[in-house]
Amino acid sequence: MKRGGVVHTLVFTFCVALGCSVLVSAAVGWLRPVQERYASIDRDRRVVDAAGLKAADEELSDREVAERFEQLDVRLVDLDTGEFVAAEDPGDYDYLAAAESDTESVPIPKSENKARIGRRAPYMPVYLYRAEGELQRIVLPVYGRGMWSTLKGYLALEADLETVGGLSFYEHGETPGIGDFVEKPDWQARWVGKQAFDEEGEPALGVAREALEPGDPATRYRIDAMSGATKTARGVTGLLQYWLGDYGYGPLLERLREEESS
Amino acid sequence: MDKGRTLVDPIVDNNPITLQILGICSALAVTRTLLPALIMSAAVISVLAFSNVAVSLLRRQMPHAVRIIIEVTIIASGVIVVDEFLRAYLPDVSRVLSVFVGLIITNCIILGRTETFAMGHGPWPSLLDGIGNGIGYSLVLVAVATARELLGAGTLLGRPFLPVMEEGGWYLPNELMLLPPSAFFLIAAIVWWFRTLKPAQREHTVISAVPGRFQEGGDG
Repeated sequence: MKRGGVVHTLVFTFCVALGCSVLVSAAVGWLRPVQERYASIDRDRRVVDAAGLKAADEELSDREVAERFEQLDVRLVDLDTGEFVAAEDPGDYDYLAAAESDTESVPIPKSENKARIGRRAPYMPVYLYRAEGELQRIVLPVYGRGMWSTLKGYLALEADLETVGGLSFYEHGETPGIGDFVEKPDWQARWVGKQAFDEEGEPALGVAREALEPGDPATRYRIDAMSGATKTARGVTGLLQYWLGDYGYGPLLERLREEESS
Repeated sequence: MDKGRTLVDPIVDNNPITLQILGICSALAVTRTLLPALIMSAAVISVLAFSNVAVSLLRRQMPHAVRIIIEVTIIASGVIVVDEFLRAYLPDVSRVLSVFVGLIITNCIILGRTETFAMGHGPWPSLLDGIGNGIGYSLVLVAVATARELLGAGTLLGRPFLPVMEEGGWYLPNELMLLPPSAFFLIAAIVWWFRTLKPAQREHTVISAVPGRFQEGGDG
């Protein structure tokens, strides 16, 4: 083989490419489990926070997160019926991947597609916090389209399943300085105590379209809009209405409410 | 050039940033605080050392016509491994560095060293050259990051260092330091200082406005 000839060039290039791909695959294969472990602790940390098991100024170590997460009852819920279904590791159910999959995902009717996600997974994980057998809080993963990309977060409801315990977003692609308030603690704190449903039991939680006067009945369900971020606000309202509605957690919440009153 | 010089030379006398004005982009992007700058430095040193050695080992077999693409393949593999490693063991820093670890592939210093040094030298001098240039780059990165974090937030590695006014101290943080342009000013100041100390580093070619007369330059 002549150095620099066509055959030599091809063989050499092929060998280098092969060597490099083996190196990269080996590294990824070896490091992936470590990355996944971290991602799962990170997720549990956010759930623990949303469940109200952490004080605002508290920094939790990985072990503390695991301990507090143990107090939660993690269930996989069938969104159509609102029933819990048996699952090995409900918290590890990848609902975003299931919503993308052709075989598993369920289409959302156009009129109900308020979160603008189009399709959803058949199941969703939910986290129940009980103290002395009584339900204290339920944490519901929520997501939907914002201005540029998907807003992902957790909505927590109090024991009455109507009062908001908290709303937080952990991932978003909103415009820095305009729509990125969704990740700010003071904005997230405004949701606490709002009612998720109106008198007719319809989802009413959201961001107000116009400024609210104090004492306006809408302040029960709505927080004030932020100027300049119309689309972000619409995205947040849309996803809340969707997930609290009949195609989201509506059936589950109804079932839990009936169980509680009986 | 003896071995010691190969290692030490690029740190001050032939620093890739201050003399060759290479690798500026990442020096602007990751120097807001000190910790990401330190991790970025470590990443660049390892990629430089790895790709220099790999290219040097292959240099006698390397077909001339495709050498650049081979070099880039080797660099890219090294960068992916480093990026995956950071994601696994330092996920928080990795999130701050975001795309800039991946962009080490396009850092001119790396391709510059493999192309001009490793292609013509054995693996041992190439390793030293890689580490030396990496340290030269890191030195500037860490100096800029230290100044920016200290003056911009009054902290170092996240720990309070200068008592800021907000917490009852005397220091009013200069928020300009937290914005990318401040890195430009600081790098310019470092280049100026280096060239004042070492007049040999001054450029004698003048870039003329007449087309076809450009003599030297670089970007990054």
